[in-house]
Amino acid sequence: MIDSDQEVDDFLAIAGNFLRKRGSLDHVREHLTKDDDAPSFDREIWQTQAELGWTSLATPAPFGGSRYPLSVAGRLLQLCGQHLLPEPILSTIGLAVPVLCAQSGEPTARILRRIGEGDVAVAVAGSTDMCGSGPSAQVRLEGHGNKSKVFGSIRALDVPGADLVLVPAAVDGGWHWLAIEPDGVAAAVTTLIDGRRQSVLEFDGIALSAENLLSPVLAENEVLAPILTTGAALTSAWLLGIAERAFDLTVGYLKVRSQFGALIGSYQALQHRISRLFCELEVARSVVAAALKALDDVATDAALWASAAKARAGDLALRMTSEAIQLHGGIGMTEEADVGMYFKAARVANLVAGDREFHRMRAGLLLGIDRNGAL
Amino acid sequence: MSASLIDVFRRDIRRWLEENCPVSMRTAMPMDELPTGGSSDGLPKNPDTQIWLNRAAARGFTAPTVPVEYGGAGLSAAEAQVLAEEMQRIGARPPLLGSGLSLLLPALLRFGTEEQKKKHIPPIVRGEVRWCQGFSEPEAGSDLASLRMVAERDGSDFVLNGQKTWTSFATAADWMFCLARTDRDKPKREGISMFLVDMRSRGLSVRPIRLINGDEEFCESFFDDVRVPADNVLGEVNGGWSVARHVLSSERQDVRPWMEASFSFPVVELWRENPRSEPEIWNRVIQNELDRLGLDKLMERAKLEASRGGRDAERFANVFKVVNAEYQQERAELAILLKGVGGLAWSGQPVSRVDSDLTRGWLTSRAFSIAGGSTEIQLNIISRRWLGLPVG
Repeated sequence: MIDSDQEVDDFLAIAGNFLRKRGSLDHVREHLTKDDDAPSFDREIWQTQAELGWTSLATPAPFGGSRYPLSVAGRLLQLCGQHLLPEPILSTIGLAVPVLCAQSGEPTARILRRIGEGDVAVAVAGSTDMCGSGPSAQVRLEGHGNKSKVFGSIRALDVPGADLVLVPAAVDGGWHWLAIEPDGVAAAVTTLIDGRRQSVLEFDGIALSAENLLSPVLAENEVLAPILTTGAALTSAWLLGIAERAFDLTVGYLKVRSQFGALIGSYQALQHRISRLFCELEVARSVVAAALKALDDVATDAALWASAAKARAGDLALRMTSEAIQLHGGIGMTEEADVGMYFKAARVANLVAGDREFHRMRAGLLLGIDRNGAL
Repeated sequence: MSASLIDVFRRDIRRWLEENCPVSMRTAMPMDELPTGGSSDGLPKNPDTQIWLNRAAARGFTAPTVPVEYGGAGLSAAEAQVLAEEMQRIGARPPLLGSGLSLLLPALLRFGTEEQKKKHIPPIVRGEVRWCQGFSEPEAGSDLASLRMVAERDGSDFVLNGQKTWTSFATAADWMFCLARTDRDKPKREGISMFLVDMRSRGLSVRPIRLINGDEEFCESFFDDVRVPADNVLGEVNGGWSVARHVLSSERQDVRPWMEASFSFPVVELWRENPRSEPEIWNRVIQNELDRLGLDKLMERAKLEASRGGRDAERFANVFKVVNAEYQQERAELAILLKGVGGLAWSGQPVSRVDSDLTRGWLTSRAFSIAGGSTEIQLNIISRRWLGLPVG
């Protein structure tokens, strides 16, 4: 598997340098002012990220992937979260690759290889719509064999932009994962508050080929499991990165801003607030690390840790970014200050792969804390 | 140590525990069966407590990593971990608890003279001598360094005058480690020394303080010309503040096993027995269990850092103290909430000991964010020391 911790550290150090070189978040702000129909990222930079080994990071070695354990993908996503990376790395390696790795067959293997080469960015439809009632039949596959057609509508983050979108489609008795090129599919495009694009894809009976069909019929608890466990754990690392950066920006501001003739960081009321957040940050770091380790170990309680991490990282990122604005005062409300960007990115990431309320409940059920006589 | 040697060690430990840990010592520990050691308490309520203490002490297992020459077992960190795991596996109670073992002993190892180590560590490890901590004073609580107790040199002795408060179990203790001012002209942290004081010393008197949980373990101690030999200064004269800081950081790191052993708020079990239908309560039970998991993982990181001798171990201790206090207090509140009015019964019939312990433990939990450096003090330390925020 892994040669040494040093090798991983070096890999992440190179990734960190790459992210820092882009400097300010102006490139992220730019996407907010572009046409909604334009992708929210730069294709050339995506290719460079593939060359750095990012897009193959979560893929097993037999499919052209890396020798690193999955936790390294989590640590990369944590760095990317710190820098609000606009490229669809979270969608592709955090969600699509786990879904693909849970399937088998030649079309799946081909997509994994193309992801690793930077040839395609892949989105996962429905990933911002996880909720307590399980998958809802937004998209249906009708007909049999090579006469199958796709009907229905579903939301997909990072479309436009992604070259392929993975779609969970209901059939009688279960679910299939489909891979569909969104080009040519009717779509209502929205730009979200963090600059990311989202489409509602409308399928009006497009014909399906063998290349599109990724899985056999899956049971309801199987179809979303890769998103709710591996995807949630990896997304929690991204959220942790957002919270870390918002925290650092705020501590930095407390050390330079003066009011009433003193640095505001010298006031105990503010010291205690930021220090309490630091305590929560340390707990969240511990839980996210545990969730990533559980993935590496293929632990039996990996689902529990993933939900614990996603709920906690969601709580932390939302609270941290809200407090970051408050502790910055008026300047925190301005477009110019970065904390507002983190506030918005946290809200979007919280919804990816199940929000904090969903995962808190899921963790509770996995802990055997049933709702008993609850109303 | 190689994996196979560790396996052999584990087998030996498992067998030893099987043969030596009394069955009643493998159950949850009620508050009145704490193995505190010492000479003055009379026999413990459950005789197995003493048997288990004696057997563990004979092997040095009350202080597993302390060198054999001082009565410990001289185990490596890895071996001590195995011992802890094997004890946890059978639910063994800690054979000995107390501030001598967990607070003073680490400071003795670090700052003590060879004579002090030889004299004081073995009786602590054997549970023969019980210690109490004399730090706080009526006018020096969170602001400990402003303490006023005076120690004046007189020949080969120091003469101590003043008052200490929150000296836990002072009525039952044999010795006290306490801070006193040895130089009033120096800045407040540089004129303090740490003294080891025999509780039988003339001029030393103790009065218990009754707390909201019914306990009388905390005391006030009055020093009226108490003579302490100069040999009983731990560390340098006027160097007591660094000894105190060492003790306080041990206190922060030690708090978890003590709390786990002393207080059990079986929230999930109570939820199952009395499933309240309000979703808010369900949510709080889940969140509290998730906090428990989070603290377990935070603790693992802290231990790893401590075993590396890293500076960040103290940072983890500050963070842990804050989060753990809140978690325990919420857990206690939830337990009492789920008990309903039964959780508020104080005495009379029919209040079982388990229920009474739960109620008193809940009341005690309010002290978790006060004792051992309050939450506010921890947040001050985090702000200044770890986040580098400016001093006002």
